[in-house]
Amino acid sequence: MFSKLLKYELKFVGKWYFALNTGLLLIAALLGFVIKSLDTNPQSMNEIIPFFLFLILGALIASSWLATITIIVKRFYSHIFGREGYLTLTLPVSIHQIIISKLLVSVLWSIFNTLVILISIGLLFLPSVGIKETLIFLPSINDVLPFNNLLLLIFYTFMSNISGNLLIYFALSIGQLFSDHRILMSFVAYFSIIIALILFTTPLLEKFMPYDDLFSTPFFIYYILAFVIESSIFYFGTAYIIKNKLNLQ
Amino acid sequence: MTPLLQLHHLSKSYKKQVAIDDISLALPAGKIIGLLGSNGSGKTTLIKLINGLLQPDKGDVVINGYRPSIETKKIISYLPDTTYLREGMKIKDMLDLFDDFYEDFSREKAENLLKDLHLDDNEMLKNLSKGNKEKVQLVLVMARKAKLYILDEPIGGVDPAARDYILKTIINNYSEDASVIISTHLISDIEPILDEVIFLKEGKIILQGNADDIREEYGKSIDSVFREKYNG
Repeated sequence: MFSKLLKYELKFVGKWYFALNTGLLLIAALLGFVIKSLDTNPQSMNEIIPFFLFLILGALIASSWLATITIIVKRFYSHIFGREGYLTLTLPVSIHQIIISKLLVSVLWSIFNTLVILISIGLLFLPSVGIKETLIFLPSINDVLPFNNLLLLIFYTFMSNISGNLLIYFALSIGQLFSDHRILMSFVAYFSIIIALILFTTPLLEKFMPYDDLFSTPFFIYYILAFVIESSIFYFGTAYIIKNKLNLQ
Repeated sequence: MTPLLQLHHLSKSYKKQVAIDDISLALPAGKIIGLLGSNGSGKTTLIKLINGLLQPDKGDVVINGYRPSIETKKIISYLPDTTYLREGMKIKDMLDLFDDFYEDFSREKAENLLKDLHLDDNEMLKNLSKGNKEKVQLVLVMARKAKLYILDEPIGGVDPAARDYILKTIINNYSEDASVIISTHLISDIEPILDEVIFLKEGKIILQGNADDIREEYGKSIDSVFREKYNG
């Protein structure tokens, strides 16, 4: 049943989302060549064209990011708290299966979106730098970046993504506890939790983490642990509200 | 025979308003049961409690030996009083979805029902009228071989011809080991098919029994008894 839930989660994303991301990559690639030609021969082109291309690229990056967030929020909100909740919540699956299937697919889209944005930025400079030079540089990227542990960095990013998505779910669920202004209350919940987390963790961080230790192993371990604890609270809070406090309208 | 559905001292309040007030009952398999009551009498709350969409404050719901859970969702076919169809899908995508999740779903039966109701399964759901959406939902629900069908206001928005067809479909589905609970306030339309009735008022059962027995005892139709109980 879990794999079927995943299948329908993946199906929900429309072709427009992929078209948007492909558009982003194409414009970035095009802009890369424009930058190169400006580099080699600054007089060759009207200044207005690169300006517009940059504007379009910026808009595309912003919209692909917004589209990802919208998909994550809308899928959770409409499938569980909207009318479709009558269907979702009476399928012969558990609430945990529903939340985890949505979470996994949200994480997948977040990673996909991040990769597309990173690649599109890479494409801007690729023609100027040259493919050969980039390929030579890539293996040494770990030495250049201030991270001495790439594996921990990947795990840190993954956990921060999970915790971020679960925070969205939890905030949406808290919004449902109110009879009116549910979306507004979700926003209030979201920002209140973030402020509370900052207020709560800053003293801890100051105590355990001297600032010169940024991106060190203890830094990563501290944050990964924090993300695990936060994620558990957000996850079980969400599941509790859906099971015990939800009244579909 | 063990009852298919049992409610034990079931209560549910919203803030301070009591919606279901200490209801106990046992319903057997093989019956068509009318859950009758005016708006706000607690019908939908009761149905949500049976489906596990709400948790009771007190008491228990037991369906075929199980509390509301994955096990009961497998055997309950539920038609809510609102449309839950995913607008961006075609009718046949919904058939796929039901086929994927419910073992007791018969695709062939669903396709036949759709044909009888002149619905094309290539049609996008967002292009359907409200009445046609209701029909699609009813087809999905009735094409399952469930043990308990719970239909919340199933005939509210459809035309009289479709209404007759729907009632006929409900009767045809009824079998020895399955029961159908129909919640409605349009009693005269469904009265002929009811075996049992439950009258709900302000969260309490005010009358329950065999439809023939009640007609005999009061010397009038269930519809007239209903009017008397709710207007008087």
